[in-house]
Amino acid sequence: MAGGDAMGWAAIAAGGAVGALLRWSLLRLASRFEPAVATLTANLIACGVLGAATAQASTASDAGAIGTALAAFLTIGLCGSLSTFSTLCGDLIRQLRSGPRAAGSPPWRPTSSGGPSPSRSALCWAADGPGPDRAPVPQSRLDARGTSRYTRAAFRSTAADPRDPGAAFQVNPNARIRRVERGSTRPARPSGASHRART
Amino acid sequence: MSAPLAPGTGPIPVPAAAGALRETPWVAFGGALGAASRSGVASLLAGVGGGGGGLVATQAVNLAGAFALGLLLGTLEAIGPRPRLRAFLGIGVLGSFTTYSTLVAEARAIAEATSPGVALAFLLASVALGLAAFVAGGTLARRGRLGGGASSAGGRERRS
Repeated sequence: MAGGDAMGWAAIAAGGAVGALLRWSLLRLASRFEPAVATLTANLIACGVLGAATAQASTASDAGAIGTALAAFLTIGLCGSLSTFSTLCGDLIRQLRSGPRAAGSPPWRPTSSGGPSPSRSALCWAADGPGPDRAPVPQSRLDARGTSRYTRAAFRSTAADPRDPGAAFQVNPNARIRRVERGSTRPARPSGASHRART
Repeated sequence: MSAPLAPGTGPIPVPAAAGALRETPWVAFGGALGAASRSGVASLLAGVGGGGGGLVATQAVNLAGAFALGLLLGTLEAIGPRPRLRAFLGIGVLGSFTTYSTLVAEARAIAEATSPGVALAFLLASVALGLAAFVAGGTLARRGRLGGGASSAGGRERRS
């Protein structure tokens, strides 16, 4: 921070509050479809504003105390707070562990192998703890969405808040027990029932 | 098709407006606190590394924030939903404490000083370390909840 004056600290705090509120607003808007879009958008906007502010500051002459405080508000406060690294990490982890690709490849690399990539397996192992090995799930145990029974059981009753990047950790601790007992639950749906219900 | 069963795979409910309004002051207060804390850390580490204090400070706050967010969310899983606590700490304090734009600005400075490849490697390594810190925080919270590594053998035994 440029100087420890009260105006500078107040400007940074005010910018931090505004940046957090803008990010929170983006998160609420994007929660209709994908919260990770909010983080991406906030980071992109913050990088653009920071680049413009830095370029402006490099061409401006001595701005004085108010100009310095304004720069601190804009760059350290607003841009630094609007962009976020921790939520980005949470979003990335959540994307890596999302359901439809749970038995497949990472979201950005669709493959037909059916097995998790080494990097994704390591992340899941670290997040889940040393549970069952993440062997490739046979196609016969996947539903139409490509979601395995293990994944469905893990996320069934947690009611994870989708705004929450920590949905990566919203795992039902009883999921493995349910997996053992899966044969006694969930009766098969008659084929075409959902289609008839809609029509 | 049935309702989505895993996060991020289907329609997402919109948060209630009244609840979001109640959380808004906490987000703002946490954001101010997080930004001031980040600036304080940058001031403390300004002289570290012979002029590279800014880079060290950014890495420090990002990794610490990612770890703390993983720890927080892992803890919230255990104690149940706490909307205000999550808004204040998760979105406000930790979201503002960590920064992506400054990281990118430092990567740009590295690219100008060395080469774009080095800057890209710096960015990728930063994100990889952040992911590891986030997972470590969540794992620590989970292990603390389950009583250490007792689940290790149990999980494998149940499977075998």
